[in-house]
Amino acid sequence: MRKLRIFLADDHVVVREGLRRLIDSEKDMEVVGEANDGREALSRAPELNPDIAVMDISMPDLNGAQTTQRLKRMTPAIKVLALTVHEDTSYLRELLDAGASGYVVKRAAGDELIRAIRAVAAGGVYIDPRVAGKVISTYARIKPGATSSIELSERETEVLKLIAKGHTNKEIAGQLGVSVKTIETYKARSMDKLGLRSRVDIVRVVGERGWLATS
Amino acid sequence: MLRAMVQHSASGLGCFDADGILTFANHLFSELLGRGERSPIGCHLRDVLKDSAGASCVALPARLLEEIPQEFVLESGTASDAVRWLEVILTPVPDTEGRATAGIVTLSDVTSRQEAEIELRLSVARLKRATEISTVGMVFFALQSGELMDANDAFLRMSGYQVEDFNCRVLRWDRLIASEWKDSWELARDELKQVGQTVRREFELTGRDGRRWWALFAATRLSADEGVAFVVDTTERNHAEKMLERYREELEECVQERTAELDEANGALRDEIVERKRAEAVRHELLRKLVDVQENERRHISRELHDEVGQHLTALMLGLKSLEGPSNDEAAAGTLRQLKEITETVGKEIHEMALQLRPTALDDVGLERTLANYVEQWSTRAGIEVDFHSSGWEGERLSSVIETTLYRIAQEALTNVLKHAAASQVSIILERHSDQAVVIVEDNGKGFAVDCVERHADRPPLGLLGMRERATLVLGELKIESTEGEGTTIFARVPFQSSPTL
Repeated sequence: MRKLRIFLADDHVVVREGLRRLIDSEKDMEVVGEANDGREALSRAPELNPDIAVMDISMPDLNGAQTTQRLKRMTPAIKVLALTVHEDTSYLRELLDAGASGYVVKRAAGDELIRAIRAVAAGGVYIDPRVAGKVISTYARIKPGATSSIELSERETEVLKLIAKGHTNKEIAGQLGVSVKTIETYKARSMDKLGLRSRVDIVRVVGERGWLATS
Repeated sequence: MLRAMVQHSASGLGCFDADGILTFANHLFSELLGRGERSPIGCHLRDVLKDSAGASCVALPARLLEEIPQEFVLESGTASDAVRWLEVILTPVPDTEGRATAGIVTLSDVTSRQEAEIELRLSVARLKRATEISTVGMVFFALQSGELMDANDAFLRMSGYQVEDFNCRVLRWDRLIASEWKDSWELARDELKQVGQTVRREFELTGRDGRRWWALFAATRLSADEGVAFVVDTTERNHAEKMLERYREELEECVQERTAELDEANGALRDEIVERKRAEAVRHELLRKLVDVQENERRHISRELHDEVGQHLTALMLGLKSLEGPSNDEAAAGTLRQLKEITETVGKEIHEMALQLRPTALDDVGLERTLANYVEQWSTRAGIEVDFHSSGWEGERLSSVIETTLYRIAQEALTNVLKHAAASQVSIILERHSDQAVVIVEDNGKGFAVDCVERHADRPPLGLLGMRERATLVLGELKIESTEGEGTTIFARVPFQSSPTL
């Protein structure tokens, strides 16, 4: 049986040693090479031609995302599994954009990493559940814009446009020559009409209706 | 023949005897006297030569023939009421012995001549009146020699000279005009000769007693070698003007002194302002350094937590993992599981701590994604729904200082929402425009009276103050709008130059 060939890139020797032990202990996997940073990874990985490169994303000099991007460009067949101490979703998108097929939090290194290696090797995308939960709740928030049939008065439209442009009520009041109270009323009334709950909703609706482009 | 000549003479002719009784008169004689057909013959001269008022205008001498010839002018009324002036000449006619026993009276109509004379007299009177004007001195002088020939009273009064001085014909302009003004006189004289009049000039004249006085002078040429000068004494006026000038100068001096004082005060004020601005700048600089140091410190600790502690925990975890095996007894397996759980918890907390201090992602991937992540976690932790919207970034970065500022302001705003607002819904908008970045945080909480809190509280809340300071440090602005019962909106705007990350 052909073993999965794994390449390790991490600037922490202790972590690398731990990972190597962990991976080598699996019967169907072997570590074929290691790199201490991004540049080393780029110079070694292509010729070793591993199935998967497990890559720490916060290496000095050339970070994980940059290394991933270049590696994928050089040898697209090598799948990259990002390994990180960062549990926040901030990095996730960047790594996925760079071409990573998986994202695993280091803290979970162990069973999670092995699961991830297998999933990625099988051609899937693996995202650590600790991070994935956050991502899903973010995307679940997006609401359909079912408000297009309701008409607003010219003034209400104008006020919404200016709010969407990021003006304060006071600034809008000054521009339209009315009181702040009036602007608040317009805002409340038009939000009511369109069923909007927040300022972000206003920005979205104004964007969807293309009002900013025409002004 | 002689009779006919006499009868038709152009003059009125009459003869009278030694008693003055007319013995003959021609036709014109009667007519000139307006007697019509009433013949004057036989009448006394006195009764005939009457003026228009009917009075005998001439006092004829008693011994008429001895005191003639006499000539006089008689104003005589005529039938048509027109005044007629008659020149009357009485001439004695001596007899063969040389004694005057009779006389001839001739009448000539001199009305037209007489009227011209009256006109002349009136003109003279007018001129006289003119020369009597008290404020304007008049001097008649010879153009060539500059000799003064006559002057009116006003000039005499001004100059102190007497009529006699003029009569002696010794006064000349160059004696009157003060030496330093001689040029001015010569110019005036040249003007007179060439143009016939002078422009107005002002110079000093010397009076009879040597006193100097100011004269405003203008002259007109009367004939080839005669001119008249009009002179106004302006000594008083000049004096007044000098006084005025002095007052003006004094005033000017006062004003200048005052201005200097004001300048000094202004300068002091400016210095003060400069000093304050400097102090403010220093404070700003210190604050900026403080913020920088703080951020750097947090960045450093955060990195260390991730890179050192986090990695070692990972190694520990992997080590624990490698201990797992079928040989372990149950107790050892339990301990191992516990150790792994502890390691995982510590790892998680380390990460949370680092994130709270300063997300490394702020440096690594930028504001947009870091803030999105923070907002997400905040929402979960606070149990408050958050709508996050960003636009205009497209992976673009701003300088670390600006990104950090906006991140911290948003973070602080969310902290305030959690602490004070009792909101159920929060909007966060993060936009990158061509020259400014904006973060808006809006909640639907209870709001507050911005004015009261910001201006009138003894100590404005540090959170608000901190946000404002942060914005000001990067030349941005922070605006807060809040309506009690309806929520609060924080607007932070930071300008940037469209050069990429610094």
